[in-house]
Amino acid sequence: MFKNLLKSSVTIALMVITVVLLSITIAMLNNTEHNLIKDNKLLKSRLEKAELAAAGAQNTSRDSEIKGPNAKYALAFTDPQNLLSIDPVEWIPENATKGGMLKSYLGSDPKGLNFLTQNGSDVSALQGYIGISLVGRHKEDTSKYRPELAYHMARTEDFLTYTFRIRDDIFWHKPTLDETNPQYKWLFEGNTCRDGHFINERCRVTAHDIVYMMDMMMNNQVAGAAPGRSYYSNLKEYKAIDDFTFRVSFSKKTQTQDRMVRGIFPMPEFLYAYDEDGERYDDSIAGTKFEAHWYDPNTIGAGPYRFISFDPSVKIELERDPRYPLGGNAYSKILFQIVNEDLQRVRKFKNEELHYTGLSPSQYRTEVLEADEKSPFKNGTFGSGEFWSHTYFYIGWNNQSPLFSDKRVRNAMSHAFNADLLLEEVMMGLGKRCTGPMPAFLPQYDQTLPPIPFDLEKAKNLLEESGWIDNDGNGIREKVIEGTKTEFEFSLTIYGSSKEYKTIGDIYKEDLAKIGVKMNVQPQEWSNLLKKVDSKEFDAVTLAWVSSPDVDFRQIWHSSEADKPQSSNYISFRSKAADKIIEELEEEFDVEKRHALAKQFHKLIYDEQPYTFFYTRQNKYYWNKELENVKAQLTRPYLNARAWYLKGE
Amino acid sequence: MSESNKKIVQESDDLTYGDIVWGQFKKNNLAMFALYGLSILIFIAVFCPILASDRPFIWVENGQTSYPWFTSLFDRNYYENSVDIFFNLAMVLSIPLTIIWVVVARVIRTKHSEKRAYRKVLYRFNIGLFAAFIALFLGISTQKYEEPYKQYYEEYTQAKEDNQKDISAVFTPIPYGYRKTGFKSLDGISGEHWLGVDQSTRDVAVRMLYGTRIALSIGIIAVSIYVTIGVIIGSTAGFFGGWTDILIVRFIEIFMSIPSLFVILALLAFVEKPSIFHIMAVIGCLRWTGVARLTRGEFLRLRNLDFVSSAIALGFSTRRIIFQHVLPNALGPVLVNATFGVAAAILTESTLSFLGLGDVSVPSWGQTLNEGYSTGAWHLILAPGFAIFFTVSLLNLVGEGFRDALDPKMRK
Repeated sequence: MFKNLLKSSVTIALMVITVVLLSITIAMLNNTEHNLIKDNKLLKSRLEKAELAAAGAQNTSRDSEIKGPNAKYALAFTDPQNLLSIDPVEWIPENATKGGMLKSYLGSDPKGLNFLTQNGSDVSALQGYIGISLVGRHKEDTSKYRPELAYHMARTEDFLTYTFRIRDDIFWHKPTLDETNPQYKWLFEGNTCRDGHFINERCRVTAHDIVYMMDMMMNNQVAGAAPGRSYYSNLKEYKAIDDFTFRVSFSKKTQTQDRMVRGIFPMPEFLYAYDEDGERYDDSIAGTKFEAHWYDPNTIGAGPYRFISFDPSVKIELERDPRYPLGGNAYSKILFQIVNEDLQRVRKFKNEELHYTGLSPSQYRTEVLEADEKSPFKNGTFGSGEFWSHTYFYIGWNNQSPLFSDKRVRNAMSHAFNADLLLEEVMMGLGKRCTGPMPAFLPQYDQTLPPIPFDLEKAKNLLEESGWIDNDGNGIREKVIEGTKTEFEFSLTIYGSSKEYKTIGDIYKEDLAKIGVKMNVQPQEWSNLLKKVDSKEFDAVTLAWVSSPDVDFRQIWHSSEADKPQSSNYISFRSKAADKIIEELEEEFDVEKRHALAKQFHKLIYDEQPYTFFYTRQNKYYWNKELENVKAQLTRPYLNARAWYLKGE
Repeated sequence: MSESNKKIVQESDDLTYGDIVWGQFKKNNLAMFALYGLSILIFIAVFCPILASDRPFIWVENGQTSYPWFTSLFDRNYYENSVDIFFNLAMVLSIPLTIIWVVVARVIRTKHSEKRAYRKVLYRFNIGLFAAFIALFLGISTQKYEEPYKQYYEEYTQAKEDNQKDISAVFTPIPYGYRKTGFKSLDGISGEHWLGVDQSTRDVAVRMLYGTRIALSIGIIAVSIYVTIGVIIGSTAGFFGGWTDILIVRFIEIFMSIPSLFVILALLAFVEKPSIFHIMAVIGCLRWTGVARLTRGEFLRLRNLDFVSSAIALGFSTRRIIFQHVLPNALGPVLVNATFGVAAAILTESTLSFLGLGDVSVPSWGQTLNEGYSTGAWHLILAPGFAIFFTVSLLNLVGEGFRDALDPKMRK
């Protein structure tokens, strides 16, 4: 009996160990996932490129600017030094109805709402409603900038120093906290506002808030701001000249920073620089505390709408700020529902739970192309429109891999990719073939370069030319590389949740098999995919790049980026000729010459084929006719509901 | 007692527990029908290359005759998955093995007149045959036999059209494999494509046929894994009782409280390249708790019966008592549970594929269903939906049949 007991105790011990190991594994998985999420945010932000908050406020009707308290703002535009001009296109017509609740959506669940550290596209879109930027792009002529928080922006002739003069009638919203809680008394009594700037129970936005934002962005403790920080390598100094003047200067003239300074926005110092009891953080920990602030996941801004609540995975609510002077806030409330399923979004739209929606290619097929005339998407029940996004989809080849270091091989891969068929049959023709590293509709895009045709014979020839031949008759080409026989077998990493990418993988795999190349499709969950890309542990990957109207090539294509960890040049593309063009572009300000250089660059990339370029997407969107004035913007966020309004009863 | 009476008594003595259960099962028409249905499914799984393949049985080009269908059966470029290799091997060996089995069974029968002895020897022979088959399969699957890619059907139709090349060929009724692309994306049901075309421009009917292999092997392998784990843990708990029992049962309860689908999702995220075998292993490692509880219950009941006490009194080793005396008597309900488990495992794989976490290189039903869901194409939802529904229903009916047959109170 004793023996049995001993045996059973051993068994139990083993099991307990199993449980412990299992718990540890689960904990580790959890931890890994946390890290992945963190990395995810980081790279996502980089992938989306720092086109910071294109949304901006608009000047109210010009009458009010000439007269009264706004006179000084109006006068500012007569100054030839001012780089800003009034946007001739207004947010909404004067006779627009005010009020109502806009039922909008977010495609993903934001992990946080700190506008500096969270760079997802949904958070940027929210920032357009809640926050305020220094300047914004004109709605139609996107090369021009309009005033927002700043009404005057001057640049010295050497392009090294930028001075912004900001309005004195913009106030931070009230923080979204319990006002009756004595713990937050300091906040609601304005104890931490700069002297003289606590007016009508709200803190005024001052140049110190911009300095604070810059402090946090340049603070290495703030990991979330790293993508933005990388653009300020030439930063010399920034300071508040007075409460309403902000100056920033650089040590070197570049075109990129000329654009980046326009993306600066204020962050509320009176809230983020203090702990929950109203004590200012010590400088040594200010960044760490900012990164994971006690006020999270709430957010605050000084824009047209005030943040009311965030119910993770469910909704975000905003309300109109009646004191916001720059317009573009017709609704009294905005409800952002968090809907990450395409099908669910369209269902909600049909049930009038959403005011507008986009359609994925397959939904476009079922709801529009193949639907009968009674479909609400076809019979005029919904309004419809389309816009081109600044994207291009591609397959990136790891140039470091022995398989893809030869440009003939990469060209062969492009010839084996049946892009036309995929665009027509899978993407439902919603897009245009793209041949180079920028959206296909930009003026600097070289339209004369023909898309690479699907031609398996050509692909075979190119592979043979580069030494990939099937000598052993096993159906897969091989080549002796550094003394070892290497079979042409690789993995294509795709984003697992996307049916379209999976289809691309299935079809490409079969076509490659026909030319003696073995490809395995490897679907990955988003954060894992980014991790692989970051660590350069992939052969080929399908991804998309979202850029701004001014394309910046350095981030993806410069050789110096290839060696940096987690850089956007994850395919390790190195070309001295390309580097030269990129550097010239950075110092060239003349538009014509810039376009010529960009076309030159385009040709170079076209010949090298470091990516197999696929297409630039066209987007279809539909809206409930309760909405008026609906149109898409030319830059992100394309569907900016600030320019629309709800029809009155 | 007369001679004839003696014989009858002998017969009933020879009736094993299995005979009784089988006799009962046979009386249940619905269950028998389901069992036939399942046999047809297994038949389809084994023989589907005869119905659908890219490779022609006979190919005559410029007077040269080749047999691509036969050589393709173990071609790792064409059948990338070991599941296919397994079933192809089963197909190739099905006829010779059946003949060998029948002959050997006869030989054994003539040597052993006593039914129990005959069965015992036959049982050993079966095990040996199975082991040999598995060994052969493992041997073959480590071999990397590969053939160059050739588009036979295209070449054939092309040659027929322009009469340039002298080609004649005999193809399978459906002349394409499950990976073949190039049809019109999301084309509906037609004479050429019996169940339409999926988004990746592949024939759905062929994918359904080959999907049977995936579904059945997932079910059987995953269930075998967890039945083994469950029986070992459950019998330990039930036989020893006391503290061992308490601890194991608490452990089982903790394990049951973990939502297995989420653990599966987490584990699969951890695997570099999730293959169909990973999915089988993960399901197998998580679903054993039900079996463990059942086995434990049976053991608790049986352990106080006289035959166990006698075995203990005779001084048999614990292992022998558990495995030779108690376990065979406790297995009935476990096997019923396993039948249901096969159905559940098929559903789990479909769920995973549906969530986009399955193995994309295999033609699983869940993946087609997922495509149907995301594209809204009816034929992509109905075909795999019915396939899953039928398979799961058949398995459940068989399971119910066995459960009733095991129940002495329901004896007919």
